[in-house]
Amino acid sequence: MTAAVLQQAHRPPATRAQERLWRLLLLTALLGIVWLARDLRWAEVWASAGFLLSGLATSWMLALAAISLGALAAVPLALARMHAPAGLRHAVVMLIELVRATPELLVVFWLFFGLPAVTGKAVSGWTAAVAALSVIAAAHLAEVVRGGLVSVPEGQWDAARAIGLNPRQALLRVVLPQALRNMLPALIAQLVSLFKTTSLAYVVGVVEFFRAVSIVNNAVFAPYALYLTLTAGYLLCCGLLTWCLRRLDPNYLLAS
Amino acid sequence: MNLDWHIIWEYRSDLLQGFVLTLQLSLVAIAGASLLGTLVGCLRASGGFLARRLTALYVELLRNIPIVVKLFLAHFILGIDALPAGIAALILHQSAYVADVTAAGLRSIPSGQSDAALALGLSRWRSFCLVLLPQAARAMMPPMTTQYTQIVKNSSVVMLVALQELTFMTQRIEHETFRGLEAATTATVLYAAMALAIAAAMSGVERALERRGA
Amino acid sequence: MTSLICRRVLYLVIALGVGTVTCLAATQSHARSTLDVIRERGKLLAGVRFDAPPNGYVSPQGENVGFGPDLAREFARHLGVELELVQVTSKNRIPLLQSGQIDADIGTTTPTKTRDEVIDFSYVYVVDPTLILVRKGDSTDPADYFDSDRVVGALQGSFYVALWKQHAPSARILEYQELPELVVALAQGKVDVVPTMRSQAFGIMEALGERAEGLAVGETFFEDVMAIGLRENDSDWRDWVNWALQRLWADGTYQALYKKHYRMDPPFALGDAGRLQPGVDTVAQEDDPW
Repeated sequence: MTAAVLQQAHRPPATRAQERLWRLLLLTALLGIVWLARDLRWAEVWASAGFLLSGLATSWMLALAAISLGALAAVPLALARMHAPAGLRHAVVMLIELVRATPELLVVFWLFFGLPAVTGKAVSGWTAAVAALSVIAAAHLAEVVRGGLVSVPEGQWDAARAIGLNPRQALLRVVLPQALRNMLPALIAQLVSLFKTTSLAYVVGVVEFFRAVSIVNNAVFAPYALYLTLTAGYLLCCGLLTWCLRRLDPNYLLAS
Repeated sequence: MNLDWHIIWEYRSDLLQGFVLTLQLSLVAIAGASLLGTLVGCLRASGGFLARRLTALYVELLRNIPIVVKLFLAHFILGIDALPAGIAALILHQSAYVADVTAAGLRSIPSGQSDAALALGLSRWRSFCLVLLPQAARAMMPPMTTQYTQIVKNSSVVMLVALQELTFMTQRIEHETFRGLEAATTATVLYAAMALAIAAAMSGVERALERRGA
Repeated sequence: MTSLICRRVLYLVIALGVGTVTCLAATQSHARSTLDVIRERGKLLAGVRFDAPPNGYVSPQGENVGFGPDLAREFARHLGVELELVQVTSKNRIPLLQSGQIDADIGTTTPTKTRDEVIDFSYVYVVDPTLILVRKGDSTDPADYFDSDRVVGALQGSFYVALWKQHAPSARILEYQELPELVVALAQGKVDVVPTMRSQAFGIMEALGERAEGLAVGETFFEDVMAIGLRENDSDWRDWVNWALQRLWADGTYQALYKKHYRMDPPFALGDAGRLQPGVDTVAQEDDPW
């Protein structure tokens, strides 16, 4: 958590003493918060721990499903936006821009209530939630991927072709790895924000972490303890997600 | 399925009121988040050890905590009125992302630029403001457009503290008339219009920057 | 750059246009009765509250409890199908019903005229008067709040917003999204009075325990009734639900469940004109299929 998302090469390295002092400071702050919160109604929260954890598990399942489906769709979308023939490209641009301009809540609404109204067939809340989050993820990730691809100089592509790689190899072996490194900060920010967006699944009846906290709150009325639980839950999960994604950085992989 | 667009017209004053509130909230939050975020981002890219660590903590904490929690903290625990609390939550939330964008923009400038400016005899401060920041600003424009759009969309969170902005008003139409599809279409169109206005304004700024740079 | 923006505008306009036209062109048909759909599907999709004790809430172990969920279990048992409990809130219950995501809304929905235009209702199945929650020391008489500049708090989408406006057309109403926030707002003085169900008011006071000192339950000002929401114009299914309610009443299950959750006997008699339909007793004895 404390490590910067981006490592800058020409920064003066931190001394070990500074590092220790910083950790001590963080620990003190954390203990201070724990001490301040000691009198809140933790018994009620603890009694519902199982329910809250199952909500958290649902959030993770939603996020992972949306990330994988979204990432699968994002690469072709980004490539189509850059290289496809005009008609297809315009359609893709239209789709991406429309999803990105629409509030997430409304995307969920359109997939859950709009789709059945058009097709006459009901979709389950879970399906609609995964579909909506995947669509949101795909649109945002497509832009991240495009940004990453644009950031790789043309010369890299030409050089890869010149040494005899076919277009697929050039893309997978040369361009994408470099693009991945350049887009990593944006990727992390996007995925963390997607994890928090899972809370909108409550609209279609899915009980994820945010809704679970809210439901418990409606039964026991312990808002302060529960919102602190909420904060801790999201901090830990988003922190974990950030930490995992940072492992993708080739710089990091080379360094370790 | 029959749609009744007349309903939307009947609610025009509610919708207009909500639209105006969303617009006001967004504009104030955009200004605030830009200022605060750029400041934090500059510190993050160039400060000393403590500044770097503090700004990293700022970004990670504010980015990973849901905006609702910030809103409740401001409104129910610190006791700030609904409107300022909503603005504060929006600014704090998005400033973390803006700081990231700023830091990345500053890092994208080759270090030779800063060396050259110093060699020309500019002070550190002047070389930062006159050479580095304007160059970074150009690289920052596309991601900033995304962030500003995000502010507009996130502004709907203030309905949790009983402020009647655009999403609240469209929900009201749905509750009172059960015309959900019409209400959602209206909301989608209005939010998309705001997103487009931001994109247009930002591309104008981008062009102005390019002219200055050229 | 300008052309890029123009193109973006064009794309959005086209996309929205296409979407709207598709919506207009599509037609929805609910020709078959929900009763057949449920039997074919082998599952009843019952909308219940997850956040409104004692009508419907979630136990610390994560199980759905309350009068609504128990009634849904009885329905499923007598239909001989599985049961899936779907979360409804005061905001999504009617869209869920209309779009076929739930077969019945067994929650805290008051049958109002505007709602009855888009969905149908069963017999009244819960009577829960509306009273007010105020801060301790303030007046407990709702009339004192009608013609004053006191601020009213209610949940968006609940029936209390319209109800309060009937009594006080110029009232200042703050509409929150969740009950706990509303209660905190009342305790902190952001709102002065909160109209709510009696069962809910006492539930809140009980859950708050010693922290409820600052709040007080005021007087009743409206006899609120609740009914099961069903899709519009689906009389086979509505007949089944009304019939099931009566038979549960006739064998005493209904009253037992009501007492278990509301801690009182039903303060009303089920059915039209406050009595069951003639013949319910004999049919109940003949082992007639539900």
